[in-house]
This record gives sequence, structure tokens and C-alpha cells, in this order.
Amino acid sequence: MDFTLPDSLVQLRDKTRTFIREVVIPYEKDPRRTAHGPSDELRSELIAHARETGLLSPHVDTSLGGLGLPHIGRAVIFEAAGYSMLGPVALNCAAPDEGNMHLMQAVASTEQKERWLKPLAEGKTRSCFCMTEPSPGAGSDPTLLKTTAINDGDDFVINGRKWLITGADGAAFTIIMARTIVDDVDVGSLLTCPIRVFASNARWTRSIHRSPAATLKSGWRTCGCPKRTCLAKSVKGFATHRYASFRRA
Amino acid sequence: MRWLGAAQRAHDIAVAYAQKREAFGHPIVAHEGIGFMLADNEIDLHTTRLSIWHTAWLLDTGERASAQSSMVKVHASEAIWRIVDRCVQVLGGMGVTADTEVERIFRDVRAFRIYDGPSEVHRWSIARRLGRTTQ
Repeated sequence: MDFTLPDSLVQLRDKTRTFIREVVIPYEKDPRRTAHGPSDELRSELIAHARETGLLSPHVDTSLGGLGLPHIGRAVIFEAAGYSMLGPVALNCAAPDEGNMHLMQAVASTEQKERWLKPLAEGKTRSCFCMTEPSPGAGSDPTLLKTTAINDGDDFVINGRKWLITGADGAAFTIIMARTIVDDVDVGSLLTCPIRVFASNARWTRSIHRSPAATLKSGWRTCGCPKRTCLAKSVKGFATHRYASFRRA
Repeated sequence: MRWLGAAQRAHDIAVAYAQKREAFGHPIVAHEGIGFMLADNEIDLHTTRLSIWHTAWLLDTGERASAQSSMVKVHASEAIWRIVDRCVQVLGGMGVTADTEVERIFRDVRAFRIYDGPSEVHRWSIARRLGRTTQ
């Protein structure tokens, strides 16, 4: 058993620690750091510093401008980034964007990557993930999923109610978990969708934590969503174990 | 990973405070009630870091590591909660003010035990696997 980290990773960790200490921590007292995290202006400023230092998007493939780190590298660099609550924002590896980038790298088509993932990986946009539904919809039990996406010509028509969506305010797009009905057959799926479909009938709620944005409760919405925005992979049903493996795909 | 960094930060702040704050003729770190809390923090930080690294290593070898991911998610989120809670306690009244970053970390870290699968769902998944295993 050898717990020695590669020299290149040790150097990157030390560089990250210095960046957090000298550049990021001084921003913790910045008035643009609000009760719900940094303003978009402060976020952009932090990201510009990380980009300049060569630390942006450590978890993203080098082909998309990231550092292309394997899991062990992410474990080490994410810990160093987390030393300041603003660190993951600066490095563009904060939730929920980091998980969305990870998922899209694994399952998105070339076209989807170009449209959604690339600007996200470059730190130019934010995203969110619509999963949880109010009762009697899905919470910890994804088999209760009520939101549907039914194909209608070239579109998927999404019908559903989602809430507890971290980062919804200002997100460029969302990934939505829905029962996807294709030619009357129910296949589970994830769809990417512009966030403006949720722009109306939204309700905000305060949360105990102060991650980059508040929680959004959205009402019933229907939207036309082009078929090509459906993430490539689909699974039959949403049995928990399938869902769990899917999220980590 | 990110939360482990936040817990380490809270711990470093608590240790620095416990070294300089004096009570009953000693820095408070010399009182076992405080020193043991900080020692427990070191243990939780260490075991959490090791279990994260092990799971990351498994994933890098191409393993699915489903069981290990569940175990480390529960362990990390609960250990980090304990660490930050102890840091608040060590800081005393200052721990619940915005004068240090610990208060902010404390508020944020609570959600970690809920999202990405609450502890109960991961325990359910581990237990279900045990129910299927032939002894």
C-alpha cells in the first residue's frame, strides 16, 4: 500500500493552498458575499483569478479547458479549495455545477457538450438540478417521480413540479429528472432545459445554509423542450440503485 | 472533499484559539475537556481523509465502488458535522458569532447530511446489501 501522492499533484495542491490563502480568503469579508453566497459579480471576479492562476475546473477534461484530474486528484484539490467557502466557487467546482459537469461529461452528446457544458466548464454560466418534488412526488424515493417528459414531434413536453433547487436563480440551464414517455413507453431520463421555463410562478425560500443561491420552489409548468436536449442515456424506471449509479456515471 | 477542507479550516481556527485563550491558569487546550475535543477532531479529519482517498483510488482503478461511496458519504458528512460542532463549542460564545468563519461553516455543513442521499438512505442501501449476502 502506497499513500504517496504524485509530485505533480503535491505541487498543484500547494499552489491551490497558496491561492486560497493569498487570493480567496481576503474576499471572505467582501460585502458582495451575501447571506446566500457570493454575488454573480464576485463569483466572476473569483473565477477570473483562478483562470489566471491555472486552477479553473480541476475536475473537467483538458479538452474542455479543465485540469483533467482523476478522482484522487479531485479529492486532494477539492479539499484544498474547500479551506475557504469561496474556494470551490473560484475554482468552478462548487455544487451543483461540479456534479452536473461530471454527469454531462459522461453522458452528453457532442452537441449538448458544446451548448451546455463548455460555457459551464469555462465558468461563464451556472446550472442547477431539478430532482426533488413536493409530496406525493419523489424525494428520497425516486420511484415516486411524477414529472413527465412526453415526446411531441421534435419536442419533449415537460409537466411537473420541482422544488429545493439550489442555484436556480441565475442558472443558464437545468437538468431535469423526469419520466420520459417516448412513443407511449416510459423510460426514465434526464433532460437539459433552459431555466427560463421556470422563470414564472417561482417561490423563494430561505435556507439554513448559504451556498451560492437560495432554494426555489417552482409551480406546475409545461414547456416544449427540443428532443436533442435529452441527455443521451436513459434507464428503465427509477429504481434507487439504478438512479444512484446513474448520478455517478 | 470540499467539506473536509471547510472542517479543517474550522479546526485550525479552534486550535489557534485554544492555544492562546487562557482560563484557570492555563491555555484552554491544556484542559482535557477542550484538548480531547480537538484530539477527536484530528481523528475524524484523518479517518475521513483516508476513506475519501481509498474510495477515489477504487474509482480510479475502474471500480464502481457503490458500497464504499455510500459508506464514505455517511461517515464524512457525520464526522464533519461533529468536527465543526466541536469547533463551535471550543470557541465558546464567539463560536456562534460571525467574528470567525466557523459560524458560517457550521450553518452550511448541516445540509451535507441531507443532500446527495441522506445518511438514512445510504444506511438503507448498505443494510439491504447485507440482507442479500450469503454468509
